[in-house]
Amino acid sequence: MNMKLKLARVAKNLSQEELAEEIGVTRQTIGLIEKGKYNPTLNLCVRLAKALDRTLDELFWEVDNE
Amino acid sequence: MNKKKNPFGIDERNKEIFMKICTFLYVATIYMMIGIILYRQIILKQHSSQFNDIAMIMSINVVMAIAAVLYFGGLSFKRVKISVAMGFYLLIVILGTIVSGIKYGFSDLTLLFDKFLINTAVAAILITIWYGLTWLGKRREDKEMDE
Repeated sequence: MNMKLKLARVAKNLSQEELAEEIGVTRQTIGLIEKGKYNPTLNLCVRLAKALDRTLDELFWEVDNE
Repeated sequence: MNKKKNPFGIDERNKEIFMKICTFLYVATIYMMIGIILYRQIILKQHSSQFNDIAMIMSINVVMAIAAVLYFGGLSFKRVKISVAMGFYLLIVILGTIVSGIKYGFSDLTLLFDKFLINTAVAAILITIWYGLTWLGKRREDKEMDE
């Protein structure tokens, strides 16, 4: 489960629908990324990071002890 | 933010699912067509001329699929080796001759030799085209990397 993405989205006060609209994907895709059930392409990761004003590390990098 | 949503509302995940389904159905269709040909030939005892159309569509389809995979980099080669191409050529000729033998019988050696000659010619054309496309595809990829 990608909690970092969900937390970043909530911190920006965006719903899944709004974020999806912003980066041009469906709400289901955002939901599945947050659930860890879909691996987005690097291109989509960058769009997500830009939309949420975060770096790729902040959104997707996994540290071993997490 | 640049919105990349297309008019149909399809994103990369939808495309991925769509492509997986298409690939699965393509392979399933090919297998079903093989099944139909075997059924007609073995169970219904139909002459091969009665399902040549299906066999032709299938053959063209598979040849094109292999060509596309080789050109668009579905298989990666460090180098395009002639020895490997020759190996595949021999394999196609041997398999083709065995299939011809099974289909027309091994008793008529003149007919079998005729089929063998056809197999060598067809295999040579196929391997030449596939080899050429592999070389062109590799060159295209190298060019794209240099740009």
